[in-house]
Amino acid sequence: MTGEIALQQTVGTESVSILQSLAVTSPFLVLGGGALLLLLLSVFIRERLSSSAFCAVILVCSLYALWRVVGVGDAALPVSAFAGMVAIDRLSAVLAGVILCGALMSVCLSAGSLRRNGVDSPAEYYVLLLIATAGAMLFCASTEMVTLFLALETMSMALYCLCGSAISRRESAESALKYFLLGSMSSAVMLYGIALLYGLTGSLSFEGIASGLAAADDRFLVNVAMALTLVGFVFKIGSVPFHFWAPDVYQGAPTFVTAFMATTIKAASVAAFLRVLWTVFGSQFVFWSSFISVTALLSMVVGNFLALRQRSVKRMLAYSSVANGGYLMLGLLAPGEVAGGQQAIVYYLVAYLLLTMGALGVVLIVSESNKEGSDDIRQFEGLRRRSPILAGLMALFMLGLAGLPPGMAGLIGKIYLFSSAVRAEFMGLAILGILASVIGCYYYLNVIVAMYFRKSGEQAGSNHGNHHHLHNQDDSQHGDSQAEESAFTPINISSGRAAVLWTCAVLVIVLGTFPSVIYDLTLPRPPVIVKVAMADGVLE
Amino acid sequence: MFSPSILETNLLSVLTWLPLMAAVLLYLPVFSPKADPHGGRARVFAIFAGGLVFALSIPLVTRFEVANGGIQFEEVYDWIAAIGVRYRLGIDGVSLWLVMLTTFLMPLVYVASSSVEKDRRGYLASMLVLQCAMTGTLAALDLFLFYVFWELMLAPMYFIIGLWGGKNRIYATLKFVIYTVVGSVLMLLAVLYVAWRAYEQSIAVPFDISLLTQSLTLSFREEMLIFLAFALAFGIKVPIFPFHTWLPDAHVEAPTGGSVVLAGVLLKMGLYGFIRFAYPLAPRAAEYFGPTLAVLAVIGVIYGALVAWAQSDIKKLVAYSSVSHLGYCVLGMAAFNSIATSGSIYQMLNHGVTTGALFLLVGALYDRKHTRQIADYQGLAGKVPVFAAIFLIFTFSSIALPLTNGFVGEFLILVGGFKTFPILTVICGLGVILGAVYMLTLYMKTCFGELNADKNGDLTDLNRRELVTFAPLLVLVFVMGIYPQPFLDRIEPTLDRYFTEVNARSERLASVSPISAEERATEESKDDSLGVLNLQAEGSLRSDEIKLIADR
Repeated sequence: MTGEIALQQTVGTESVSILQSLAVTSPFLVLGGGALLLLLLSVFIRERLSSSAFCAVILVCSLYALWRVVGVGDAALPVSAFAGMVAIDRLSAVLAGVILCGALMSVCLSAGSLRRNGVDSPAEYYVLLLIATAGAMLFCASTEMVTLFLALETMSMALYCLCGSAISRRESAESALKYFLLGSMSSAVMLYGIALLYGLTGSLSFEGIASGLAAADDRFLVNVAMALTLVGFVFKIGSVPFHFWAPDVYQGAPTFVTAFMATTIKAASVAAFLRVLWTVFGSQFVFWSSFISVTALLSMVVGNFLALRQRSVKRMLAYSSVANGGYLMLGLLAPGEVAGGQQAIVYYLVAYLLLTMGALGVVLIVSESNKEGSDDIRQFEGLRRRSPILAGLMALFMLGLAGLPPGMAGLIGKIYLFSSAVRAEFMGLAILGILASVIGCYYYLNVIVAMYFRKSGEQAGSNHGNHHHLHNQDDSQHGDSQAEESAFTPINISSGRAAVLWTCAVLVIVLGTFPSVIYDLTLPRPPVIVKVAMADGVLE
Repeated sequence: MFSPSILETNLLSVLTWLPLMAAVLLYLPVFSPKADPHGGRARVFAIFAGGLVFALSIPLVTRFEVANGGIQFEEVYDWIAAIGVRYRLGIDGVSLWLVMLTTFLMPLVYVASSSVEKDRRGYLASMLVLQCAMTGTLAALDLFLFYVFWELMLAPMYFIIGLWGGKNRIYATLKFVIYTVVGSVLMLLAVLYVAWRAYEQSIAVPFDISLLTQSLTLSFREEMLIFLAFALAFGIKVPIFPFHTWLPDAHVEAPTGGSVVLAGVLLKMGLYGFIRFAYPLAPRAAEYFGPTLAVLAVIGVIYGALVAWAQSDIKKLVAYSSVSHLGYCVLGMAAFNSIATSGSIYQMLNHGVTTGALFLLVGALYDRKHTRQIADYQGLAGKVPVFAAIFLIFTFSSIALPLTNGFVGEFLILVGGFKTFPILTVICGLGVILGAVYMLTLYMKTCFGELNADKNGDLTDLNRRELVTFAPLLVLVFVMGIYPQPFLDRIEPTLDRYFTEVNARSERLASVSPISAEERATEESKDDSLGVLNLQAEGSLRSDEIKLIADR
């Protein structure tokens, strides 16, 4: 973890000027400024404003700012700002990029259909989205407890509102309320933990707390403080036993919000969790590793089993997100270059983002195409006839989430995580994880069964087109021709959504075929040297 | 892409990925339902692609160095550097013929796709993806790459049965998937465990099967676990007796082409996996479980034959005959000597040819009358003589009549098997008789007797397209039956080398981590100390290897 060591040095020197700090934090500032600007504009020129386009432009600007901060050269990283409150190192830079791309995708998914999904005030929606994105980026870039907490709250507050943004729908309000009540509770618990840590060590910076903890003698208080802090994170990731909010919130929130939440917020939370665990609590591995193993195991088992019974695809994906949180935690158990937990987590987060974003995009399109706006698995029946492309993409995403080729990124991601756990000597946990992930195959494939093998139950128009289907020689001839009728309820896919879905699908295959592209991003040194170092270590 | 040099250096990659490219090209607008409503163009294109791949695969045989039993046509690239996975392809005498069988059978399946009415483009694309996965599985020499290709075989087969299958297709396809996934997860666990042990013992490439065979050290208990995991994964695929129940369902529901591929190539993957991975990695466990496997194999032979005898559905009969025939192959493999194993490999090829043809024949009948019940057919010999003649030849081949291919394979297996398991082999010989009973009964019931003019009066004989499909299979039945030497010549040097290597590994393991029945509990600690000694002894070699990697 050279990143953190170098960070310490920069923090020590007070030579970083305000201007430099502003430059380093420009990706966050662009987002914040953009959000305010959008809010102002929406007051004055509401009618002529395309908020989604404006939001997308802001996100792209932020990406560019990030690239300018990072792209100067590897030597510049890590850079810190505001006296060590925020730092951009490899992990936070990559994660910021991932979060921005995720937000951009969710904007493309939502563009032009906010009102249809019950969101009446587009400008406010996108303002909140920008704020949540900024919070999420800051969450994984903060290197000090107060900044961390503020980032968490910025992100969460905006998210509570986003969940309830479909004012006209009851479920949306319910999901916002649930999320708010449970979320603020968990934030309070975490804040209490932070307060105890401050009391124990007299410091709020990560390094200060880390060195203070290593020297602290009150074991009980140290453990309580750590446990309280961990609970806040576990809640945000949505892992068992703090997962109860996830299915209701995921299901009730508008689907593009779910897509945003399931991917970017999860990525930010896991990355921030990683930093806190490895940097702040680095010396207390024995304590938190047992805590994390139990949570990871429970998440993998409970998430997968509960997902089996779901009829709503969104709810199924919510439980799948709980299970995936469990897989990701296996990576948290494998600190250090040899085990490669960090690289595995980053890779899996990217893969999971692509797969879930794509899957929820398809869910969004399908649920908009029926009158009730339902995402029940029944709505997917016969999707192959209605839109072969959509069905094909969804099949790819489902196979990827199940960890089966050709959804390669999902498979390789799981392999990275499991082998990092094995290298960190959590063999049993990895085996249980693999076994739990088999259960996943069933419910993911169930969606494929519905799309491809079942006939649509809907009755519809009288169009008998495409005669070659009628030559089907089964005895199910009758059912077939019935399905034929409903097969051509048209599904419109806007170009923005099509772009998102295709990007996800292509990247799933490309990144799965060339996994090192993502894996090496957060490697401090070229992998070859690491291998030699490892081998030497064993030979000694 | 098709410059000659790539065919020299990367022939196996070309053979693997060309079908996939063809599958992608099938989604060009030229083949869309509007431009090509009946899928005729798609079929021609697939036949062309399959034929091209077959033509390109011929140099595998001609350029194959007969006396060299090692890996040939090798390709190595780094793939997932972080955990040491490489893209390593290569074939030896065992996989050579299975690859050839794949490239040979698939064009016939594309030709036979004219009976698929519904979305033929999708069907052909699935088949092409399947061909890519099968070739890759047979050529992969890296455990993880093998696993990926193995899993890639699942998705297209899932769609082929589920979309183009019969009435109970959803049930059959789910059963197929659940069995396969359970097996492959166990395999994944075994693969990761092996790789982890290799990593601990600082073997340079922890997923490379050749390196692992040479230098991986495992305790006897680890071997047992690994072998069991592999055996379950591969045994389900073969299928070996208690795990066979998915097969008849899958066969009956699958479209004709699906059955041909399933019987022709997919089932062999299990046996191939045993020979390539399970036996070399865990030789002592393989020896330990050999008799068990042989008993299960013989039960499969007899049980499969008896159940086949009782069937009223022709396709189900052929499906159970597969269970029976693959029992021979398992017996040959379990006997673990050069004759039996070469017989086993030869029998895999025969089974691919013969059973593939039988499924095509059943498909031809079904296309005409939409029934597969034996009772619905009678006296076909008079009405459709060409069909009956071809059916007779493949029936003979299936019951291993001399001069047909089946005879050579079964003879080798029985001769070799007798050396190791005399009693079991004798029982297995009874299965040969039973095989004759059920196949000849089937032939008698369908082809002889009075023709039922109401039902089958309008039956037409095989058309030109079907004759084209059967012709190469017929030729092979006799070529392989009369002059098997060119095939066996290429298998034997590989097997000689294979047995030397596996036995050497077995001895090395026995000396490095001996089995101590009383001292199971203390086995672990002993094992570790010996492991360290071993590492010190081989330290110099290792550091050389490491330097090589660093240089690269």
